[in-house]
Amino acid sequence: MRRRGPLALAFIAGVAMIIQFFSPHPALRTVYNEALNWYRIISAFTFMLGLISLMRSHITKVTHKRAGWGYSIVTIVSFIVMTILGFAYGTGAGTPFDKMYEYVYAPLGATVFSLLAFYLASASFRAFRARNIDATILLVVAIIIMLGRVPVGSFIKWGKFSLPGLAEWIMAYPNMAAQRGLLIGIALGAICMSLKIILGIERSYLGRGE
Amino acid sequence: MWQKVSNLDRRWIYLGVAICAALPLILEFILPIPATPPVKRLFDAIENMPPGHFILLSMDFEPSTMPELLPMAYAITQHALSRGIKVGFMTLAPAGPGMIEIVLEDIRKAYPDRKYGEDYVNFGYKPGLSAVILGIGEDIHRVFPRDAYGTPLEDIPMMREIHNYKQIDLVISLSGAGYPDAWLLYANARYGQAVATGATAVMAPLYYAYLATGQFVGMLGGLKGAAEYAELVRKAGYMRIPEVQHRVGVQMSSQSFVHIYIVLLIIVGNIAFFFIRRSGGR
Repeated sequence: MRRRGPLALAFIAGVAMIIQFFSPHPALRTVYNEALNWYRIISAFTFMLGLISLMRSHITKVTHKRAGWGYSIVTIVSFIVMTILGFAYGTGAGTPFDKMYEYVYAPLGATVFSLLAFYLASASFRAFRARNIDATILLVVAIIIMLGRVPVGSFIKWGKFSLPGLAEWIMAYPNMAAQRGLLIGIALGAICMSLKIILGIERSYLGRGE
Repeated sequence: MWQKVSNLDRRWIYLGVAICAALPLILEFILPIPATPPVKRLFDAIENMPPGHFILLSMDFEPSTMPELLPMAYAITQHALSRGIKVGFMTLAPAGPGMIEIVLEDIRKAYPDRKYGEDYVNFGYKPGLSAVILGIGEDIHRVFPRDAYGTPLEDIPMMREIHNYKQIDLVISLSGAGYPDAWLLYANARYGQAVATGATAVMAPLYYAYLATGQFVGMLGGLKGAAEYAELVRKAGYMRIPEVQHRVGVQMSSQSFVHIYIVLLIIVGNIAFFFIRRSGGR
């Protein structure tokens, strides 16, 4: 029963959602709307689970003084401070929570992401080598895109052709064709996986073991 | 000598990036930014929309991608509000509500003639991604019974006649992750909702396939897309927060310099590679 129950539930829910998609019957619309409500409620609960898991992981790290436990203290303290500020003063505009978000969290997030530029420059210098024909094509296209996607590229022109125009053409045709192939492959894979879950062939979501 | 060049200490490379990024920001110079077709398509979609219509701006991003996506939100909001188009703000990203507040704080000052609840509304955040997008197709009042500040939606004048995608003229998802895909899958494919996106430069190449099919009305790709849109808004005379347009223009100059620097690094690296290989090294 521990195995069959979830499998039956997945089958019934999956088939019901497929049927409702093709039918405008009011009863099925009600089922659909209720399912959406359940989904949103369950999604909210997953946050709680994630939160508990995150805190447990960092508290364990601190108590056992594992590598990088100092960072875990920062995480725990940040979590407690933001929670207290949020509950005590609310989260609206001008509140301490909002100020912490705007003047601490937002700049920190953007700073960490911007570090990518430094790593990208270093990695490009070391790894972008014209070792063979394929790598050379990749290299040339990368240079066209890099220069064509910034304002300075608009100064590079040959008669009717311009570098931004060439970059846009690469994005809109060769890139699009490759992306479309990938997307169709991903979509077919998702359909297959969904069918396997509904039919009970794919059972990894039940957890390990039988 | 070429071996030395090839093994250049990464700290010198980082220093070069820092100088190239900082110099245009300090000198504040702006290069011309012509609009590309995907950006023009989104601009035209809003430009041709009659006043009083409604767009849903889903700011599905968090501070990490803020430098690229926040200017898009500013430019689109100014364009819409200046033309008398109503805007609904929402987010599917847990840390997204703060992003909306940053934009609204400036919008309130720049548009004292536009009233909250009559011209724009903030729905805030709701977990559940696909369930939220599908739920809006049934009834937005069920998904967001109250706005971000706790006011019941039925008490908000502009929301009395907006119930689902039939009354929403355009959805724009600004994101650095897969949220625009979800809007396409659930809002466009299921309900025929017109959708556009503003994506980070990393994500933008993925969406050209949807642009070609017309599933995306238009697209702003990365900071460049934001700068192009801001320039179109400025030229049309809708820009009320010029600092944003100026900042994004300066940032694009900074990006230009860094890109040139990286291209030069690649060229130098390959010259070194060529000479080392010719001399029998690896």
